[in-house]
Amino acid sequence: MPQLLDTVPASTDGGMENKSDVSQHRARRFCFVATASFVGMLAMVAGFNFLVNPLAEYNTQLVSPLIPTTRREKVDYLQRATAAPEGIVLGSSRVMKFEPRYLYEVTGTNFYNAGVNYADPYDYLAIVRFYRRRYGRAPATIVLGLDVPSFSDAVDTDLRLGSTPELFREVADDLAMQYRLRPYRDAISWDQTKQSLRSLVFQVRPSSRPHSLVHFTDDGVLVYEDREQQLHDGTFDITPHLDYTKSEYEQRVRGFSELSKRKLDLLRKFFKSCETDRVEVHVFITTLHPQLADHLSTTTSYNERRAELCCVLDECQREFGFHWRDFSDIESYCGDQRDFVDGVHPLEPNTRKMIDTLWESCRQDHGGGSALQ
Amino acid sequence: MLFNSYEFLLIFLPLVLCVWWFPRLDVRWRLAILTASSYLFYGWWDYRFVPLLWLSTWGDYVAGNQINRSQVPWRRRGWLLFSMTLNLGLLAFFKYLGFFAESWNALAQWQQWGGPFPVPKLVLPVGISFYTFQTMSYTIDIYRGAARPARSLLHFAAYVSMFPQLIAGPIVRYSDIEDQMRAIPCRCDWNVMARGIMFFVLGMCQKVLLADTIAAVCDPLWRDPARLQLLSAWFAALGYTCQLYFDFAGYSNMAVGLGLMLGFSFPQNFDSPYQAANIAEFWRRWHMTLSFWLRDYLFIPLGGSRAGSLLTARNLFIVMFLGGLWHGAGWTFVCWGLYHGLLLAIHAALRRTKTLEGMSRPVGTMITFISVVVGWVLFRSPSLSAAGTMITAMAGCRGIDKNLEQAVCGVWGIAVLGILLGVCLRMPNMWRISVGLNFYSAAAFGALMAFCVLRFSQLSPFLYFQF
Repeated sequence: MPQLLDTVPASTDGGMENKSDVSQHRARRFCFVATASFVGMLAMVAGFNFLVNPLAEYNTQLVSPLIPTTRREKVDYLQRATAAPEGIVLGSSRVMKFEPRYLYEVTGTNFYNAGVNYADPYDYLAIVRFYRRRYGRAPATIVLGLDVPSFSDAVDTDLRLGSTPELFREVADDLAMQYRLRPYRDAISWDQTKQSLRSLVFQVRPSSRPHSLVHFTDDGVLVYEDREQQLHDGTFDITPHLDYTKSEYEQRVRGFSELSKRKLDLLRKFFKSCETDRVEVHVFITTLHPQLADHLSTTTSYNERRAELCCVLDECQREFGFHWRDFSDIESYCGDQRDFVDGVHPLEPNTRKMIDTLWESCRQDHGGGSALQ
Repeated sequence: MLFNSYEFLLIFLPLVLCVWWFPRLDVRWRLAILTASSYLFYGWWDYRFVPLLWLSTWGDYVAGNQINRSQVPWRRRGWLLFSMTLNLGLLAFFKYLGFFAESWNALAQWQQWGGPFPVPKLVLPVGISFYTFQTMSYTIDIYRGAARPARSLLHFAAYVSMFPQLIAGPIVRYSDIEDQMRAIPCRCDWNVMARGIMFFVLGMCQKVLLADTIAAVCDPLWRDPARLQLLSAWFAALGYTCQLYFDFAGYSNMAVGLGLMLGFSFPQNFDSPYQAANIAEFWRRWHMTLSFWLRDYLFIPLGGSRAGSLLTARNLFIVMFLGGLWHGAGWTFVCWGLYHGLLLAIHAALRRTKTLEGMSRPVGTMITFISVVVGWVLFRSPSLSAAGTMITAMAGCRGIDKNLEQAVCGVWGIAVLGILLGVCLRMPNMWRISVGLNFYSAAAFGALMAFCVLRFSQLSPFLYFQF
């Protein structure tokens, strides 16, 4: 028997029995106190994390979250806007530089950039459904940028979707139980507790909170304040940003052995609903800085998954009749590697070229007509 | 299901304990529920392999009964052979077929013997090495007259599948637990429960707070051994030495703790092995249940150490070769086993000539520890060439790191390693620590457990699951 405790041996002797009862009582109290202490401490931590809500996973807003809440901001805009934008741009932060103004110049359609951080098919579906609920009809045109890593099962759907009730309820039935349980699980995690403490420090001492280096324009376009200023001054050095994205994407793509069936089904559902609503859809695979593309092709299975996604898009194109292009390589749209702020985020000159290429190829594919339906 | 997962700790375990200790519940029902929950625990990982567990359980139960009933020696031997064939056949098929095919193909290619065999890509059923050894011990013990057959198939199924020890040991022999299986307590002994909680919590701390912490520091170094030089190579090797110990000892202690919570006492699996003064002592203190299994069912039947130096060395090599192969189907494990066979043979020879008598214990401990660390390099490396690269770096043949801080992963890295080495080499293990039962210790254990749960956010399987 383990010697961890000094225990009183059981005995048939009356006095010893008494001692044994005492020992049993003491041990029982130990078990209950240990259990209560365990449950109590977890409950306390969960309550603390829920109230502080550092990663915007819950619907509490007592303390400003540490990370951008783009879903909240974009939903608020769409709720405030009295006139519905005819078209929307969907995708992750990698499409946030697609300018509605330029799209208007090219297409004559009034757009809003509804790109949100770490978007995946749940977000596309949620935003389109929310749009339909808000304006009573579907958008006329959608420009959708797909990130290959967002189709990995290892990359979870962003929890900020869950903390935006307007979007969450649109896809609640489609979300797996695991996703719905994650906020509870995260509430008892060390990482979130650290972030809560950090968030609380910023709340108590606002001067210590780092100044946000990005903001959105009225039409939903992202502005990188510092980097664009440095670009303007000619002092911008992309190398550290490239290195960061290299390690981040290498980690994100590691173990990405197949496209997520669940997310592909959802993407098909999205295309199906667009086909039903006669929405004009333009899809593209988001671009990469050439150095990052080379890095990922040699160290990960990124290119294999990208090829699989292309096959899926070809199939979907035949079935649902939209138009798509792969912009992973900058040559595909005559892009310039200087027009990136890091490995994955292009600047306006590149996004404009992508828009031009997308519409030009669409015209060629459809014999000069722009309507795809 | 992992012990260090939310679903196990917050749902599975409380439910099983509540049902197991439910008052006035018949023993048969309790065993049935324990068995069913153990299958659920196992099937959580991959339900397709549960029938394999049933097959092994049924086969050995039948074989055990037949061996016990029969008085005819050849029939008894026949049933024992059936049990061995079944268990070793399962192991050979799932664990070694691919390895043997690959090795044969490599040899055939080298000797130009013709076309290669197809290499099957089979998923290794988790815990197969452990439960097949347990069930084999059952039939062998009955054959030897060291144990009686289980009271019923349910009793035997509960023993084989019992979730605390199913996946990564300790290897509980039927003879170790036979009496406990025959007299399952109906009322909870709170002293035993408290002891179980302590073992479980401290085991969890070993895994989550110690093993996972050093793993986070050292794993990046192991990804590319070619970049390592003298200091970083030693840092990586020592880090893995600590990680493996705390990972596996942590799991074993959690298993012992869970067993105690259910009222069963499992054997000790680790006894501060890195404090051993020689390699034979190391093997009496590291993964003790496997060492004793190999000793009793393999080494002694082969003749043990009583048949002269050469035969002892042969027996040690055979046992350690098979011990290495038990750990994994790969040449690195085979070499690791043979390396330990060599160390044990050298030790046996030196002991015979009484050369070791004058050696002080600290010197012996240091030599043993360094030898073991070198062995872990073979154990951890993905290939023999990677192991060679690592060992040459440790020998200083690849130069000395210029950036000391980078080599030892900064102050944090060296501090963590220093503390863990201190614990391994100097501290008494959990089986020797005495803790008082009072309010403060209870609150502290509860808080420690909660702190471990906070660290669950990343999936971290136990290293021995792969064996």
